[in-house]
Amino acid sequence: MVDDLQLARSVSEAVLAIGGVHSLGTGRYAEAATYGAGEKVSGVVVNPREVRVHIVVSYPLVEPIPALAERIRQQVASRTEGRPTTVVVEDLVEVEQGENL
Amino acid sequence: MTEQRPPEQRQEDPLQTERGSIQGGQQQSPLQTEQGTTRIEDSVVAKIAGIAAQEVEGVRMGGGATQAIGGILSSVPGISGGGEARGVAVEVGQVEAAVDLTMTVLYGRSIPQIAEAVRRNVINRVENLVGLNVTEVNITVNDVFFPEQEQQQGQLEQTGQEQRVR
Repeated sequence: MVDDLQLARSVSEAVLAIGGVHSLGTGRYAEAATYGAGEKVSGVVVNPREVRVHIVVSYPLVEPIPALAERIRQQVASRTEGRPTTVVVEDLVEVEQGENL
Repeated sequence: MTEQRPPEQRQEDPLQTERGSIQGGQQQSPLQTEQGTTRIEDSVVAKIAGIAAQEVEGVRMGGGATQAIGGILSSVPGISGGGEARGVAVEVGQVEAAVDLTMTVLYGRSIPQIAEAVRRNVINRVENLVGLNVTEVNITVNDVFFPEQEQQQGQLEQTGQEQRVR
């Protein structure tokens, strides 16, 4: 069994590698992160029943947001130990066309 | 007519707990060996728990007033601030320990999440460093603090240090 911090790190890596995701979000009313000894993984919240990922999306969009969310869910499914993934889209950031992978 | 108790009301087996089962009434412990026992003072467990709690970002041990007083007191020679064990109360047995923590949390953090992270870290640290089974970690959050308050706190302690040198 993987502990929450490792799970969060692994999910964070997977999400950042997805094209169209600009960065991980930080949460609006409470900081969205997973905490451990001396370190913190921003943007991923691990609960016993679900894993929540907060993202900031690049604009112009690579694909419609529901499709992007589904792609994230598929990429992350193997790393969440069976828990469903909730994707929270927090913001849009404009990027130059060339930067969009 | 006899009343039958539904199965849910059966008493829980006291030897089977969430945190492991006890075989034959004798729990194995790395501290009890055939060639002698190791006794660990409460203060040691308390310090380790206090340090483990503060390893989680956004946590300050002790309450609001305790912090200010502790900051001034620790700059007076002769008084051990007990800084690392501030806000920590422990109950230590031969194989188990229970920890009570009092702390303040940085505003903007999810307190349930922080508390759970602290709980996990304290349990992991104490169990691995001390060899005692941690039965429970109770957490009281009695204040929230802001980053600017942190800076003021640091300045207060610094001026205290300067006056000592004169």
